[in-house]
Amino acid sequence: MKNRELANGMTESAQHRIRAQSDPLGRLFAWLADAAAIAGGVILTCMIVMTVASIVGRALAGLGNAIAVMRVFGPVPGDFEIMSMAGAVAVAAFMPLCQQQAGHVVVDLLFRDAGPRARAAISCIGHALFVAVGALIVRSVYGGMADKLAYGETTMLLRLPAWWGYAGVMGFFALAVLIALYLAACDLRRAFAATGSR
Amino acid sequence: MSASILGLTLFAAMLVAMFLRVPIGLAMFIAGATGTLLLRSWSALVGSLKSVVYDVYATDSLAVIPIFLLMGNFAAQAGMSQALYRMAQTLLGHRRGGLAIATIGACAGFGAICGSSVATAATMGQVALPEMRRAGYAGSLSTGTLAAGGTLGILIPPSIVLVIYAILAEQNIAKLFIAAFIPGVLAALGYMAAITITVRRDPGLAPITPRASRTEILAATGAVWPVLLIFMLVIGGMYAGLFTPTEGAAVGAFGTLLLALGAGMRITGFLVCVRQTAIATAMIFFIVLGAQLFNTFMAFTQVPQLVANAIAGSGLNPWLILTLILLAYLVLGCLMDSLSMILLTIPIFFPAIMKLDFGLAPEPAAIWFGILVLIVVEVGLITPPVGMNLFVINAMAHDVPMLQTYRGVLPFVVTDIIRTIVLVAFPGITLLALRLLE
Repeated sequence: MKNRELANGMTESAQHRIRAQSDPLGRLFAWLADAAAIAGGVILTCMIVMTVASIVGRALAGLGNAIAVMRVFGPVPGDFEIMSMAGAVAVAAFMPLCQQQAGHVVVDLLFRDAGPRARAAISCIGHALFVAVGALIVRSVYGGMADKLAYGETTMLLRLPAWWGYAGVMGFFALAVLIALYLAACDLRRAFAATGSR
Repeated sequence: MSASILGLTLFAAMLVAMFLRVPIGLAMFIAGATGTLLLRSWSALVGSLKSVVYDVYATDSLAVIPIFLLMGNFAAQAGMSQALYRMAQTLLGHRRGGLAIATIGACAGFGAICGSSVATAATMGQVALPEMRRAGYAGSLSTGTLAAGGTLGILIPPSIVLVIYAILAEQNIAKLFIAAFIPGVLAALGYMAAITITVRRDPGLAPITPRASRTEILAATGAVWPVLLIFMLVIGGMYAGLFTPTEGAAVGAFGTLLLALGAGMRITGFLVCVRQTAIATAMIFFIVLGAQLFNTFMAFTQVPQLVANAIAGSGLNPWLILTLILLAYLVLGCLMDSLSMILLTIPIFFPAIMKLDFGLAPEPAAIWFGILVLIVVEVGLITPPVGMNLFVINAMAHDVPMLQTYRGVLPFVVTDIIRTIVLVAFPGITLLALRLLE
């Protein structure tokens, strides 16, 4: 269909960038970032379907009280707890791809006409700063996870261990940090490369 | 060094870092972390980050953002952008500048199921730009129309910027969405008027295209009913209390998912939607996280409270203060992006505005101010030199120089400013939809 081609066209450059990573490590990171994002997307879609099921169940529960057979229907129990935990993990799972595709918002005012080496240097600084910040985040969320694990904290209704969410967020941030580290190294090499090599 | 001086210093340092192309979320995070470290301690920083990161990512009211983004992506996959453009084109295409007017109409329709400006500009650009260029429309008119039309993505609910405002100002998101509707429609009408006037002054910009037959109009109109249905269900259901904002977003996303599957979306198409949603979501959440850390630090320094009190206690006329605040947004908007602007300024300006008397009760005043801020930060998306929509559209139209796009978007900016003045002078227009529904 025509529209699908158009929509695909929008990410053509993105897909191109994924394929353009020439060394094995770059390809591995690109693949991992993509897989993480897809996992997040699947979680998000499941959340959407579950929420709709819960709404339908809630509506049918009113009916079900009148018709005894339909008592099995009802809102998904504890959907709120699943939503917040799964939501946090899904959004964190999007982070590696955003980092890998340089999807962060920047004020692109002063360096629009800068040469490729200057741009690589600036990009390198951005990735390096993310490595520092991301490492701090991973370390802190690990602390939060350790706390939850030590107290054996669980959610109210479903008794899901609270550390699960923290573990997910920490893991995906760690992947984003590794990717940023790799990209910072690539940028550094490009910034110092002889002119014309890229 | 006193806390407030530290606060102001780091605020300035953060802005400098942003202009040196440090990603915005990262700049806010680093400034906030540095401030917390200097003002308090390393253990205080790590201690607060322990919960802050997870809490931001698990915030229930923020979960609507990825869901709304996915909804817009599914709608594009379902061919809704084409269907909307086709309908607007058969209805309006035969007039002078008709294809541009149709583009605005289609953007407004797509805005009703998409919460992001850049996404609306990009999606409609794929459809409308080739059509306008093929029909011989001038580059400046085509790109200007699409950049401005894209802003309807956030002006017409649902709107991600309004979700953020609702959280910062602790307002009801459904009421904000309802209130945004009439100003959003006015925006679309204003843009159409801008096109009409522009092509009347310079008919060479837009050749006339043939009129569509009645059967074509009927067929094209028949294809867009799902958009209307989903919009009514999501916004209406949220406002009526049938479901929470997250549930409303989920219903909308589920609806567009079914449409996309019906239109033949398979696994590749789904992955396209997921990847685009992923990058946009991660980018937004990282900015929100950075702003959360920075704002917590700033609140600690008392700077926002001092500035808010100084504004409210300045003795100036409230309307003058409001005008100055909106002007400040217009100026800032030339350089900054809408989300970080809202995140950084609402903690200062919102309390100040709430202390002033505009003859409105607190809640209507908060809603009215929210819509005004939404409009002025949206103008920032299309004002040179840094306007996100301009970049997006210009990147698509390879043959149109950036300067032409800047020129093409000017008439639209003029209508934005006129609309802002009207909505400031008559708060009743913004609050009308809410009053009618009560």
